[in-house]
Amino acid sequence: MENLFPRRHRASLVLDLLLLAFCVTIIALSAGLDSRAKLFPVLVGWFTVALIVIDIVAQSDTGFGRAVFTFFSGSAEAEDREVEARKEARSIVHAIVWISIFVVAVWLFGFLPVIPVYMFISMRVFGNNSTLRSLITTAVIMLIIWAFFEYALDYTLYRGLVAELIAD
Amino acid sequence: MIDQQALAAALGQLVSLSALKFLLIGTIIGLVFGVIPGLGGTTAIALLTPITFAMEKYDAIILMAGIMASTPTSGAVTAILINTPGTAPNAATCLDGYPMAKQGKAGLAIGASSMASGIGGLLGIAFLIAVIPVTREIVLLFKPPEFFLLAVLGLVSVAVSTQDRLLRGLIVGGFGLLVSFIGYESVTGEVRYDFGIEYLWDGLKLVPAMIGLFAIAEMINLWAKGGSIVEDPSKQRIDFRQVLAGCWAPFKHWGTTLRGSAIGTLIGALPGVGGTVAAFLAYTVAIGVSKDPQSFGKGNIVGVIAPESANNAKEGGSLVPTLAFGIPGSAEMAVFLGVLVLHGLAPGPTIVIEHMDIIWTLILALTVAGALASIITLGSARWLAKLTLIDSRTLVPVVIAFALIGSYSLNNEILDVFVSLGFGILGFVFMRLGFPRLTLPIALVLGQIMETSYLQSLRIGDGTLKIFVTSWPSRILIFCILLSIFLPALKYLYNSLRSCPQQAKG
Repeated sequence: MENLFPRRHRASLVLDLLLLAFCVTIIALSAGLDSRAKLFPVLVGWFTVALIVIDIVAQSDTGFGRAVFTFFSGSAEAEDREVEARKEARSIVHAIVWISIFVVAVWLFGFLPVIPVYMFISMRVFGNNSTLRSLITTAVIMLIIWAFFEYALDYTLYRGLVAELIAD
Repeated sequence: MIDQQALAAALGQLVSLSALKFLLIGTIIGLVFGVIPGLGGTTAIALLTPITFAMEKYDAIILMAGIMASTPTSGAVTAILINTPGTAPNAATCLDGYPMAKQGKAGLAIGASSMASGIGGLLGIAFLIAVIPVTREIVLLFKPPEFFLLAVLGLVSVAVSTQDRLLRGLIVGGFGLLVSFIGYESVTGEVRYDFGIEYLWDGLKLVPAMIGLFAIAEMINLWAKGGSIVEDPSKQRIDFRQVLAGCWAPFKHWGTTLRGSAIGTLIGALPGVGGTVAAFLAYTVAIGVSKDPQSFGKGNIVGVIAPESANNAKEGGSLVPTLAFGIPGSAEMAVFLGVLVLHGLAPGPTIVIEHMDIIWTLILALTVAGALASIITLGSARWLAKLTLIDSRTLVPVVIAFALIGSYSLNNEILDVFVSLGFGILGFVFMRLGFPRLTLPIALVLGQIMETSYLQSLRIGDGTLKIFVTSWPSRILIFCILLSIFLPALKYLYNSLRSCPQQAKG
């Protein structure tokens, strides 16, 4: 395995396998459907499975794998993107977690209270901007959001689960 | 023949103070909605439709024309500056526009996109004027087998445009098609692949997915990388001369501009296919005919001109089936159709025969608004380009906030925000592992069209696949699909053969 698939392709291989699992799930779920409803999804599903298998083969460190890669890419050399991704792993996790926290906070408390807090922390704590600059930027952005959506369009932004529960 | 009386009546309507006011308002609203990722022309028209009820029908149509003409122009601005297409068809502009911004050529790219948009818009309208008498024959050439093959070509051409990643582009496209099948099946009404989640009954919505794939994924990337969008801020030149040089580029590359506009108008005229396919097809063709295809995706200005001219030209094209047959050429046109109906104007042959003044009003308003949108965008390009110098810790939360509000506001559904987050993470993983993201939204758009036209084709052909090769448009489309798939291999073979004699000489 170690020799067949170089270490630098390992993450792509995992993604290929996840996509393969999704395709197989769709094909399996199609079994209980009406023949017309499943015809095209099953066709696309098998087609995609075939493509994923070819991609897995193309990543193998064999003569056939390299030939397959060349046929589809028009080049004999692969770009190595995974190494770059591994170098920044910590900051990537930080970015995903921070944005996910924002989404969950919006779901709980709504856009209007969460956006200024999120913006201020991003600028002041993570960006090392001055408190005054962070406050002014946050206030201006909030004013734009409020004026455009709530005032000009008369559109009520999501108020959050907590507000809904309190209202109930 | 041009109905001169109707043209004169339309001109009279447009030069009134009230009409010009609504045209300006519509253009500005369109520009604002175009710049905010996820909002776009469809949302703007949908939000403003109830307001037009109290307005004169001419004013309402002029307001809508202002929006329709300006959203694609400003949608390119965010595509170039933050790799986030303001509207779906602007996604192709990201491919070369964003690398240009990273190289400090944002002004050049904005100048080129605005001018290409303006020219494309004008050519699309010229096409609309020219083909109104023969629209029926053109649209009827395309039956379900041709629609299916056109959709396949659209998907394959996008995968090819990712250059060395055709295989992975097709994999992501296949994955996107499977995702597009989630929810109600249009023929049987059966709910498919909902995993027991009620939210999925209507399928995954395109706009939240797009916002995730482009805006959120790019913001995760920018946050992880740190700094600003421009890799070397000292290289960023935001002077007016750069913008002017960009304006000249569509004239310098006039072949690309004309080709892109022609593709845009033709694809726009086909119901349901839309501007996204037009823009990507124009981009792929530009690569195909280029003497330096390797420079695409790395900041080639032709890669900005081609999709932007196609994107704006499609507005004129998509009005053809909307007005002549009442068949909307895109989601935006479907909403616009509602505005016409609201004002007692039944689209179809009746409007062409009895209300040519309305059609001329629309054509003239689109022309003026397109030019106006380009001028406003060009005028503000210098300041807009400064966005690329903002530090990620300031820019990311602002873009995330606007993007997620856009995601929520379309359907007032908070779960759409989670969909955006999910697609954002997926888009980021795709981006980092060399899987092109661009085929995913195309597949989400085309999934329904492909399935419906495939099933209809089989029904017409009594269950045999022969139906896909019976007409000459089908055969041409199949040839184009095969050519696209074999293009990388042929290119490699050609390059190898060319380098062999040189090596022998050496």
